[in-house]
Order: sequence, then C-alpha cells, then structure tokens
Amino acid sequence: MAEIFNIDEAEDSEDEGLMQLVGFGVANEKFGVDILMVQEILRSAEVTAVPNSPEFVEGVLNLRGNIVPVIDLRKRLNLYDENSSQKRSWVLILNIDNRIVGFIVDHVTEVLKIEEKSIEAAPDIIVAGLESQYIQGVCKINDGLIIILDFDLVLFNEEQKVLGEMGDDELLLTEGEIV
Amino acid sequence: MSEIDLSQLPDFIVEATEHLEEMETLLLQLVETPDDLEILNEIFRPVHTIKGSAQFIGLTKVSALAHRLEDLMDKLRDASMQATPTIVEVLIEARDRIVQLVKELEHTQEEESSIDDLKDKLTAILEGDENAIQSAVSSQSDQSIESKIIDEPLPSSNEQVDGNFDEENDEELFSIYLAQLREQTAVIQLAMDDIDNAEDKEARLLACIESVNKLNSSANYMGYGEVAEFLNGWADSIKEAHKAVVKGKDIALSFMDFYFAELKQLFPQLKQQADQPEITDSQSSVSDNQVAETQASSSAQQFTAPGEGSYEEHDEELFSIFTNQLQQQVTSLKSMTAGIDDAADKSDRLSDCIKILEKLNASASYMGYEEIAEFYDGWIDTLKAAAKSVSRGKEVALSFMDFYFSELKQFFPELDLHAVASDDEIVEPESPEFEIPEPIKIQMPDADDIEAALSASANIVHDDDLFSRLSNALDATIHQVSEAEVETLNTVFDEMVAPKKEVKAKPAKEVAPAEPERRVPAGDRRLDERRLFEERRKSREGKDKKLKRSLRVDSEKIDSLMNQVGELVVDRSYFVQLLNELGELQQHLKENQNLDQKEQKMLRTFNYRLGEAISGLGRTSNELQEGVMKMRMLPISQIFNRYPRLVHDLTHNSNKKVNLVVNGEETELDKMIVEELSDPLIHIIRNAVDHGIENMEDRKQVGKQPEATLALNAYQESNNIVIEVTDDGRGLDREKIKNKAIDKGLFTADELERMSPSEINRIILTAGFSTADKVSNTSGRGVGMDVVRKNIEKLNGSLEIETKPGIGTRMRVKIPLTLAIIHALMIRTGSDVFAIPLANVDETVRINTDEISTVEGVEVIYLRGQTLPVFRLSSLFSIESDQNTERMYVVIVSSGGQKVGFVVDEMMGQDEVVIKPLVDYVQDKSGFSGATIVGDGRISLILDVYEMVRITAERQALKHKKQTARLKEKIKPRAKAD
Repeated sequence: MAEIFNIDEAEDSEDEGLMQLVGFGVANEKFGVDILMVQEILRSAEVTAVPNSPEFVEGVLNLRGNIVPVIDLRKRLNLYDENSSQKRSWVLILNIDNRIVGFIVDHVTEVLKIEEKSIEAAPDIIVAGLESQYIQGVCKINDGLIIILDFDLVLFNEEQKVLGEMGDDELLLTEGEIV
Repeated sequence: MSEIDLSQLPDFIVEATEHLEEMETLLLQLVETPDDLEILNEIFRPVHTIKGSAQFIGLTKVSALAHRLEDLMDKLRDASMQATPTIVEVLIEARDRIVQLVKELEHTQEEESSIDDLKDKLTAILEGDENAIQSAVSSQSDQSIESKIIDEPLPSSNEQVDGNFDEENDEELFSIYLAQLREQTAVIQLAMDDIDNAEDKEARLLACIESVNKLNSSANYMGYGEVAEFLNGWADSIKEAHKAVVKGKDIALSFMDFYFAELKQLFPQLKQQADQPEITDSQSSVSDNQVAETQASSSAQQFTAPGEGSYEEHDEELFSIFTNQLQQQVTSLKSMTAGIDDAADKSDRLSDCIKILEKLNASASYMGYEEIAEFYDGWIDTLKAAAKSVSRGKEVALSFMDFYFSELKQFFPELDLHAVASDDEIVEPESPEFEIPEPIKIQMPDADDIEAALSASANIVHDDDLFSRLSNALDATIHQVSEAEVETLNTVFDEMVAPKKEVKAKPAKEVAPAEPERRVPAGDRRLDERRLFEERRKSREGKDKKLKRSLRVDSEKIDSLMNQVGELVVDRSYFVQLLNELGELQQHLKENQNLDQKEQKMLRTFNYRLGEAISGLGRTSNELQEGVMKMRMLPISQIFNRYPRLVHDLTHNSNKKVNLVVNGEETELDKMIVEELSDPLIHIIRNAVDHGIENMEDRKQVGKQPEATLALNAYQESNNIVIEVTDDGRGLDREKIKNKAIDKGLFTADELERMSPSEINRIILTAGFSTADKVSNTSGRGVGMDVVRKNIEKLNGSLEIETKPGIGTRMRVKIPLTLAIIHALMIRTGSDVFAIPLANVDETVRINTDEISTVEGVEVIYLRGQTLPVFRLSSLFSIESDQNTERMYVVIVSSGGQKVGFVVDEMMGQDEVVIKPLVDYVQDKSGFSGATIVGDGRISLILDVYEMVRITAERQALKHKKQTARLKEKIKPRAKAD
C-alpha cells in the first residue's frame, strides 16, 4: 500500500513542472500544443468543403457521427510556405474548452516533454511572421524553437464568442450523442 | 401493511406514469364524449394494469384506489351508470392521486398520501349518491387545480405542500392541528391515567369526550375526513363507556389504547408524545396486548385473505381496513352490550348498536362481502326488534348478541383471539344471565314480514323508507304479542330453541337463494365483458403494435451504445485504411514479385472481396449509428399531449371556454430538449388562459366567439424548432404594462416613453412583473414569464411576443434544433451531395437548356405562367458541375412567399436525415442550416432555403442595381425577397 502510494507521489513530483507537447509542423515552423488538448490525430480525413464559409475554414469532417469544423492552420495563421506542394494531410483534433475543432497541419512530429519553466513568453516582435497574440510562448529544444500556440486565441475573439454561446448546449449534445 | 417490492418499483413507476398519462388523455376525451364505450374500455385498461402491478408489488394504496376506479369503470362500461361531469371529475381526481402516490413512491419509496377521501367519494358514486359528493368535488377542485399546477416542477412553486394527508393541507395549519392534537391527547391520557382506581371516572370520561370532540371539530374544519370519522368513533366509544360508568358498571377501557394506537398510525408525528409513559402499568400492558392482537389479527388476515378471495374479490389493504373497522366496532358493540340488561338507556344503546352494525353492513356490502352483509342484515333486524320491544317497556335478554358474535367469529376466524379475549373481559358478566327472551318469540310471527322487506331491499342500501316499513311491520307484531301477553315460561323455553334455530337459519337461508341468483349472473356478465374486452383488445393489438411498441431503456445505456458505435466507425475506417494498404501491397507485389496470372487473380479477388466486406460493414455501422441516434428523438407530442389537461383544469372553474388546437405535434426533438420545454410551455399556456383569454361574457360583448381558441403549433423553421402558442384573447395591454412597470419601479416613465411597443411587450418577461391586479389561483405571482424566458434561453432559444390588443397574443418559442430529423430531398452537384428540406420543396422539374432565358443577367424559367429565377448550385457554391447541358434538373423551392429554382446535377431521392448543426463561423451566411451524415459516412450539407433565397436575392439585387445603373430601360420588376 505504502509503496504504491510513494510511487504515485514520486510520479506526481516528477510530473510537476513538466509539460507534454504534441509537436507539429506548419509551413516551415514547428509548433507545440499541450497534449491534454489533443483529442486525436487523423490522417487522410475526408473534409467536406462548406461553400460560402470563411476562407480559413477548410470544411467539416465526420468524426464518428459528430460534425467537426476543420480549420486550415496555415491559412489561419497566414503562413506562407514556398514548399507548398507538400501534402498536408494531418488533422489535429483539439478540444478547446470542450469545443472540438480540427486543424490541418503539415505533419505531426512527436511528443515532447519540456519543463514548464523553459517556456518563455513570446517576444514582442513577430515570430516567424505570426502575430504574437496567437503565441502562448516559445520553447527552445535541441534543434530549434517550438512555438506553443494559444488555440483559444487562434479561434479569434468573434468565433470564440459565438462558440462560447453554443458551448454548453453543444457540449451536452456531444456527450449525449457521441463522444 | 404488506411490504413493497422495491426491486420492481422503478419499473412500476415508469409503467404507471405512462399509463396515467394515457388515462389523462382518455379521461379528457371522456369529458367530451361521456358515452363512448370505446374510451371507457380504453380507460379501463390502464387502470386495470396499474391495479394489477400495484397489487403485485404490494402498493396497497395505489391498488386500492385503482381497484375502486376499476369498479366504477365497470359500472360505467355496463352503462348502469352515466359518466356525468361530476364522476369524470372524481375519476380525474383519483388519477391525480395515483400520480401523487407514484411520485411519492419515486421519492420516498412509500405511499404517503391518504386515499380515504377519494375512496369515500368513489364509494358514494358507486352507491349512486352523486349529490353527496358534488359539493365535495366542487369545493376541492379549486385546490386541486392549484396543487396540480404547483405540482409541476416549476422553479417558482415553493408552495408545494407535502402533507401526510391527501387533503390539500397547509403546513402551517397542519402543525397547529398537530399541536392541538398533542395537547388533547395529553389531556386524555392524563384522564385515563389510573382511571380504574379513580373516584371520578365519570368526570374524567367526560373530559375525554370533550377533548375528542374538540379534535373532531378541528379535524372537520381542516377537512381531514378520515381523522374526523375516526375521532367520531372514539367519542362514541367513550360515551358508551361513560354511560356504563354512570350506571356503576365496571368497564374495561382497553379500547382507549386501541384508539391511541390508531391515532399514532394516523399521525406518526405524535409518536414521541404518545410513547411517553403516561399510561398506567395496567393499561399499558393491556394496550400491549391489544396492539399485539391487532397485529396478530392483521397478519392473520394476510393468510386468510386468499381464502376469502376465493369467493369474494378483494384486496389486502381493503381487507385490513375492513377488519380494523370490524375490530373497532365489535369492541364498542361489546362494551355497549355489556351490562345492557341493567342499563336504563337500553333503547339508546340498542339503536347505537344498530348504527354500528349498519356501518359494518355498509362496509361489508361495499367490500362485496355479500354473505357477511346478509348476516349483518339479520343481526340488525333482530336488534331492531329488540329495540322496539325495549321501547315498549319489555324486558329483553340480549343473549342473542352472543350468538351473533360467535357467528361473526366464524366469518372472521382471525377475530377469534380478540373476540374471546374481550368476551372474557366484557361479556362474561353478562353471559350467566342466559335468559330466553320474548323478543325472539315475538320476532317469530313477523319473520316473514322482515324477510319480505329484506328481500325487497336485498340490493338496496338501507334508507329511511325501508326503516319505516320495517318498524311498521315490527310494531304490528309487537302489538299482537303484547296482547297475548300471558305465556308460560316453559313454552317460552320450549320455543326458544326453535327461534334460535330459526334465527340462525335465517341468514343462511337468505344467503343461499340470494347469492347464486345475484352472483352467478354477475359473474357471467363480468366474464362476458372480459371476453368481449379481451377480444377487443386482441383485435386492437395488431393496430397497437404498429402504433406504439416501445421498450424502456436506461438512457445511459443508449449513450454507452453510442460510444460503442463510435468505436465501430473508427474501426471501420481502420479497415478502409488497411484495404488501401492492401491495394498498395498488391501493386507492389505485381511489380516486384513477378506473380503469375493465377496468383494475381487470387490477390485481386481477395482485395475486391475485402472491399465489399468493408463497405458492407460501413453501411451497417452507419445505419447502426443513425439508429442509435434516433432513439433519443421524441416527437413533441410527448409534451403537447399534456396540455389539453392543463387547459381543461385551468378553465374548469372559470367561465371561460377554450378550444385547444394542436398542430405539428409530430415534430421531433431531442428528448432532453423536449423535456426542458415542457415547463416553459405550461407557463405560457397558463398565462394565455388566465390573462389573455377573456371570459365568455366579455368575449360576447366585444363580438368574439364565446369559445376562445388556443393554438399550439410546432414546426421547423430553418434550423430552429418554433413552438407557437397563439390565443385570440384580449392581447397585451401596453398601458397597463407601463403603469405596472412604473408601480413596481422596474422602469421610469421616461424610459418607457422611449421604448418601442415590442420592448414594452418584453417587460412582461422581467422578473417580478405581473399585470394581474390580484393573485389568482393560477397566475399573477410575477414569477412566470421571466422563468420561462430564462429556461428558454438556457436552451439557447428565444421568446418572441406578438400581440394585437383585442385580437390576441402569440408567444413564439424558438429553439435551435441541435438534433432533429427532417425529410430531405437529396441532390447532387458535382461530387457533393446536398440535402434540401422537403418542407421547402415545391416541386422538381426537368427542363431543357433552351427553356432558360435571361432577364437582367438572371436566369429565369417560365413555369405555368410564372417567372421563376433559377440559380445553378454549382456556380453558387463554386463547384465544378458535370451536368448535362441539354437537360437539367431544377428543384423549385419556396420560402417566405418567394419561389426560386435551383439547378442541380442529379436528384438522389428522398431521405430522412439527422440534422447536425454547424459551428457558427462555418455556417453563418453560408446558406446552410446544418449538415447530415449520409450512408457512406460522408457529410452532406443541408440547404437553408430561407437563407439561400435571401442570399440569392441579395446577389440579384446587387446585379439589378448595377444593371439599372447601366441600362435605363424599364424592366418588369420582379418580386424581391424582404
């Protein structure tokens, strides 16, 4: 009993200050998102385009009966990639405050363990052509810089408001319908 | 009391609730058509089912009430009784009581409310005494409406009463009464304290009588019929005891303990009080015995009950009530007969005995214990004869009472213990005086008369007429005998044996012929009816099966099933992925391994078959998914069906007549939303009836139909479900609203001045606002509409008010449909499949390209003399079209009076689709109201026709503008969307 307890504690203390990120790439940048926000990662998802929707909305996809909006992160972040021929087929399904949204990224790399304190605030200057308001922080790793995106802000304010209003109801529905 | 089978209870509650709902609907139909045998039969069915299950589980009250209802329904069905409004009202009330009991069971697993008042009412009806209950019904119905509405779990209903009694009682009053009860029982107990050795027995008993009487009158005032009756009995018993004491007799006062025990049962709250050791040792020991005996006898009843049931139908609870009463009455009977010989007030006592027996008789015949009733009849007659002779100053030996007591024991073996014990206590002193009386001899000659009278009245409950006839007959005989007064004692003794036999034989004889005669046909009739009923049910079952065959499932199970299905869909896509990989592998093998034809063919075949299997799996899993999802959908009729009753109740005691018109009840909504909508709608309807609709006189004065119309309408409007409650009442009085708003300090006059009419309308949605001058039964407390608004907003809905003074008000509840099923026309454009709500589709036509002409740069077609703009979906949605340029399909849709045609590539047929909302930033101004998942797992967008028309009209207007700027020539103006 006691041992188990100790082990648990030990794990806790080990976890403390550590953060796991899912790394992904868009254009030439590397990004990270808290692993707890990631619901799942899809490859080759069939996205249905929605005519007349905002440009950055790629469409919607059927996630086991739930219709999930898919946002093209590259378009959303206005990232220009010379090497755009690369097939972007990964969809990162994130749970942003119980709102399920898919983001199209170029590739998903790995799970990174970083110390929370190693995350630095975003520099005032614009990083990699991103407006810094989307950036939660940056973190140095071996081969460069990882940008931790603040997805709450990526779904811009107006969307947020709209989504927030629907939030509760949608959540209930989601739970009742299919999780 | 039998134990409730808790394991069965939840099922019972659900089942009963459903049956009760069904009953409600039917009862309301019955109000309209009281003679409809079909409806009566249909009401009988749920009642019968409820009774059966309640009995099975051991719910004594529910089953007793249902049983009584069933009896009444029986009478109504065989047309021996008319379903008058009064009766229907009682039926409804009884149904409500069962609802209440079921609710209590749901919360506390106990049946708390008493049902005795209703049982009395039903009995009264069954005995044809409609007038007696009329007043009771009307005096209570106000309250019952109130309580019923309060019963609805509205947040505002903090007045909900949860008394221990069925009667609508105020908690405050009840607590006052309880306090009084404590006080008086203390007085009584004090008085009874060691009364056996006390000098002032008389005074003490008088004090007791006084206390009991006080309690009785308060109980009457409170409307606790059951309690009052009980107290009456108690007072009578004490009076008897008092009389005996006055006569100097020694009276066992053990009956007091019996009453105390009863009282405790009635008022569990008294327990602590009653348990206080105020009773003397001797008494408490007696009381223990008594209680033990009562328990013993009541437990004995359970065993004897089935035996009894073999010849008479009854249930356990009734039976226990009956035996309780019996016990009580027999005790008082005995105490009355005790020492009657020396009592000066013999005739009073005898008439009291008769009264008691009449009570017993009534309950016996009410219970359907016909043999026992006959027996009582005989007893009563004997007693009456005795009373007569006593009043003539004759000396009467009442030993025949013992004979009857012993007979009674035969009927109720479980009484034995007690009866024997009481015999020892009370009757014993009297039994030595075994004297054979003249009265019995006197009775002899008039036995025929009595029998004649009896048989004439075999079925009828004793009434005054019968009494007087009986006494006349008796009078006559007594005269005769008193003239032939001189008889030797010997002859008396000789004849005594005979009369006794005679007396004994009499009940038996009467029973014998009467029973078969009456019971057999009754049985036959019932049997016939059952058969008929069964047949009818069978014949209906086929229909029912189609209409309503439901299985009750815990919603959690459905949710978990959903999850499983979700996983299945994931697995399927994994298979799809594997299939793709297999294809690649096949390619690879083909290119690099130099497979021969045969091997390649095998691989190909396998690949193909796997593909087939996977797409089959996909279809099945998608259907499964959709099916599970549909399980949660309920038609809105689930709640709409409740409202006729509401309206009925609201208008019941008013001079308003409201015709409720319901439309669109088949609209389907998620179960959760349906339930959430119920209460707000109740409030709106209540307001409409209470405030909006005028009474009949007022309506006539302003030239309206006296019968008001209240329309309930549900439909889908783009991605909302709209529920409209429209009344043709007086409309909102804005001036009044303004004044009230100022009165209540909600707004200043200035603010109101600036408000638009619709803003003023919305003031009624403000918390604490009510225009009612006084609080009525149903509304006016100012908590209504703001709660409605909050509840609807909770569902992300909105509430709109349209009103025209003098014409009516329409409340429009708009709920976004988060999950709803619609019929849609599936169409294809390019590679995308879209759904168009069928409700918006007027028709589909196939046209040749040359039928399209261009007006102002807009393509139009002429269809039966009408010019319709047509739009190519492919160009609207920037989709590459593969349409045949020669012939094309056009879907004509209409919205808001505007008709347009959409050119599509292919019609794919009609489908039922589950609407799933799109996130707002995707959906906004896109012209879609949602999406659905089609068979192959792909998403198909659902066209919001209204929005589409608006968008196209905008574009059109834009073009038009540009063109009119360019071209000055006049073109026929086309209809524009608003």
